[in-house]
Amino acid sequence: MPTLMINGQSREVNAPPEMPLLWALRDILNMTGSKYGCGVGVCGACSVLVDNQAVRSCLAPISTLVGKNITTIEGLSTDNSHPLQKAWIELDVPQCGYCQAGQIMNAAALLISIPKPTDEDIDNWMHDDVCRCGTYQRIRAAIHQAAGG
Amino acid sequence: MKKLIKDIVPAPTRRSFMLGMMVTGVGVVMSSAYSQVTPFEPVDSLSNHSFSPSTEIKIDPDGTITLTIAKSEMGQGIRTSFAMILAEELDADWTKVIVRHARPDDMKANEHIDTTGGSNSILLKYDHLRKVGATARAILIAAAAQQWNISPENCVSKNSSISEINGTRTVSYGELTELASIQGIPSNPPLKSSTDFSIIGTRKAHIDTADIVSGKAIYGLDVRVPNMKYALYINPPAFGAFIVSIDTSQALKVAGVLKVEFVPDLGYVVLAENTYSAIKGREALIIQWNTDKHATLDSAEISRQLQTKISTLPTLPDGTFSTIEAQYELPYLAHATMEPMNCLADVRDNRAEIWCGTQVVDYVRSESAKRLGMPIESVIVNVPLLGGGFGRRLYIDIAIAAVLISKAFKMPVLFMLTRYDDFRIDYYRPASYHLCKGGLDASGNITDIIHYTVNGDNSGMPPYQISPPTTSNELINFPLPVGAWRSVGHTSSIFAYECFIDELAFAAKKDPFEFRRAMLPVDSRLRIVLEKAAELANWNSPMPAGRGRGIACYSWSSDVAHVVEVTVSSKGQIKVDRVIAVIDCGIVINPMGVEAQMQGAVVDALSTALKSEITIDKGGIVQQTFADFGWLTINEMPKIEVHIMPGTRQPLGVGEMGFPSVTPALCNAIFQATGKRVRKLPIQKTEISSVESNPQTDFNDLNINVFPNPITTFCTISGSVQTPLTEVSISIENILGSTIVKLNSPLSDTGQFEEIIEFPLSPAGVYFLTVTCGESRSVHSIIKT
Repeated sequence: MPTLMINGQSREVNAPPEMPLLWALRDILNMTGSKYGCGVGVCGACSVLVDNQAVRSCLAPISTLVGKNITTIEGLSTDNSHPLQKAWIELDVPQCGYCQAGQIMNAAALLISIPKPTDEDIDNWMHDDVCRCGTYQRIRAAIHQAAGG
Repeated sequence: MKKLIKDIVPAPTRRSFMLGMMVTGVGVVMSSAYSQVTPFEPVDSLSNHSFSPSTEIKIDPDGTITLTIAKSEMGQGIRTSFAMILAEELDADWTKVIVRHARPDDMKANEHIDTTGGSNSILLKYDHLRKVGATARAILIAAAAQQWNISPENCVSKNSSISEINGTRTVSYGELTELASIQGIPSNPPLKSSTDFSIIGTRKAHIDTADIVSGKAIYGLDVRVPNMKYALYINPPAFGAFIVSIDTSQALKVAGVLKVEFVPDLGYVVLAENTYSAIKGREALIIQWNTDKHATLDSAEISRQLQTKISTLPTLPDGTFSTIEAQYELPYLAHATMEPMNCLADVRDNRAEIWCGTQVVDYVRSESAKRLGMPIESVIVNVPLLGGGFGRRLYIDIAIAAVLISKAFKMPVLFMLTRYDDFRIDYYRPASYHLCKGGLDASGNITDIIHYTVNGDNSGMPPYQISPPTTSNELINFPLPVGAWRSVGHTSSIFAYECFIDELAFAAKKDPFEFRRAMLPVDSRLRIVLEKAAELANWNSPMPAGRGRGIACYSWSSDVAHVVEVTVSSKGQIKVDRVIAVIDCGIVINPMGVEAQMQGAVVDALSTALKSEITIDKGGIVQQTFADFGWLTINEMPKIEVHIMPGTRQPLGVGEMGFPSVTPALCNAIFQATGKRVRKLPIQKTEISSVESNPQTDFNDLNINVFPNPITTFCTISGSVQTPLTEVSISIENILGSTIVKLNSPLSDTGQFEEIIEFPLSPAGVYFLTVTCGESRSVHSIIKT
């Protein structure tokens, strides 16, 4: 039974080692903030941070994550105080909102890697994250705002 | 054909107010079985001693105002804008407002939960919600007046409290709940003047945004109840396919798989402890299908049948100076909601509880009750957030499937479609074919328009002051179910009309904006909106070579115009630079919401214009996921500028109105840039400029071969170059310039290279191969089928 470090807490996961993290989070641990969009790594709705890198949780078996620090949307902050969450609220980025946890987690990895991203950096980093509602323009603006303008 | 539903809104009935006048705490008919784990409690169980004058409003002694919204939230912001209208007339403190979704069992006699669709929620409910809010406010004022023993005329409400005019006393709404609950009901409460609005017309973030960005928001797929199981359906690989034999033995060995069984009226279902086990269990099934029924059906055959079916267009009257004809064709589209379709059902012996992100709450309830043979009162439907709708959640197939599965297995079951399933089980926007013919007189004025279609729509032409178009609609039933998809028939009719009007303008040697404007009545709202779009685009400013600007307009409920600016490269790649979207939707409830809808509609329209389609091969759906359906990504985005006209008329619809005129404006812009008309969607299937026969080679020492071309899955890219370098770089880009393949290939001693490339999952169409070696570069267009 793998033990994972999720949002700073050690969690025993009663699941087979090959189970992708997404389903362990959602169906075993009842942490439903990370969303299922495609299951094959092309939409980004399930993105989480693993040791501060963006990872598609639908493709990452839990056995590969033992000993690593996993951060999900629930652990980004306890009170929506992360700069991205604040910017997302201020600019009212979401429409249906279903993809936004993944968008935010990928953007969080972007800001860790490139604290002041240009438009081109955002294009290169975020271009695999699908938003069916079309909130891209506000996602871009919110990333810039969270990065301090 | 779409019709505008006229605004007929009953005032709140006296009965509905009387029933709500009691201090709450009265028993409810049914309580949720799992209220401790879901946010779907009946409103009456939330607290006692509240003031609840109507289904929509409940005020607690602590000042919390709970607004119950009988509309489904799928990203259109309806929970927020309905709450804003109620809060405006109630004079509520917006920071004390919480919103919950109505359940059918909340509703009083003669009330029901309306369908959410047709962009008509605000249009149909604005007056009603204002009266509900104003009635509650009048009752609270009467209560304060009674407490102070003064006339209600000497009381004024603001921000959830009431003050004495010419006095110092104030009392909060929370303090008045009990006294308010025994007041009489004003028959005609005064509505605010729009000049006094302090909430309507202000920019309000969606009421769910904070929960969405913290991961707390609950969508259908997120609902968890004790002992629930997870189910997947066994998808036929083609329409009309049936199972010849099925071996479930390996599937049943997969850890977590509970059952693989045939569910009556549905088909085979895998039941498992979690989604992953269900997926793995389904993969382990050994099934022999019979796919003979539609084995020869493919997209080419559908296209051929559509074109064959269309009737010959009549000739235009003698004296027509010039005649223009054009054919337009559109593909099937899936709804592809971001949250795949799903429903959780818990069917017991004599009752059922359902959690379903649906646009038709009452219909899910009544049809479930019918299928289960239960009285309607025994079925509860909870409505979580919808991860996108676009029309898909008007259909109850998934809810009924969940009910049947839960009934068969006698346990709570979350039935879901995987993304793969979701592309296969849908009510698609139909593929359609359109023939247009138009006549011009010697002055270049339109004399006639004929618009025939097979499986499309030809209603909704902008209100040009010309003879109504002559229309004919033919229908072919293909095995793909079809249904409502954002903007419904107007996705096809406006594409055809507004592209064709552009063709007529060109034939008449007239400016496409001036041509349209001259046909719109002076001072009509659409004309003003069109003029605004042209003004914001600086329409008359010249564009450099390779760039183009297109315009189109649309009027249904609201009035909308779009200007699209594109750059088309010499090899035929398109960059959408800028989209100007202008809307007059009457009184604006939430400008932030209107902007979001208009921006989203542009993305929706550009995606489906440029890339997305559903295709058929051997009687089955080809597309598997977003990558091959082809959705616009952030790097492909234009700058979108939304301009909302100040409006004083009744608020109108927005959700669908921002879509139809984008597509023709884009195609008209491509024509301005290139002289080439794109009449078939998606655009990437058309070579805007053919570089295949004339490769652009900066240095002719680089020789490239691609085989095969067109490409199905694999292709071999090979070539030679005279260079001291040791490798070449190979990249493949889509029509919008996004890189989908990038690699370096080593050169042999004689300067040869060869790579076998598996083409990534991507939509069919034109792609661009670039091979670079030092200063040398060679570009080829390649076709993916």
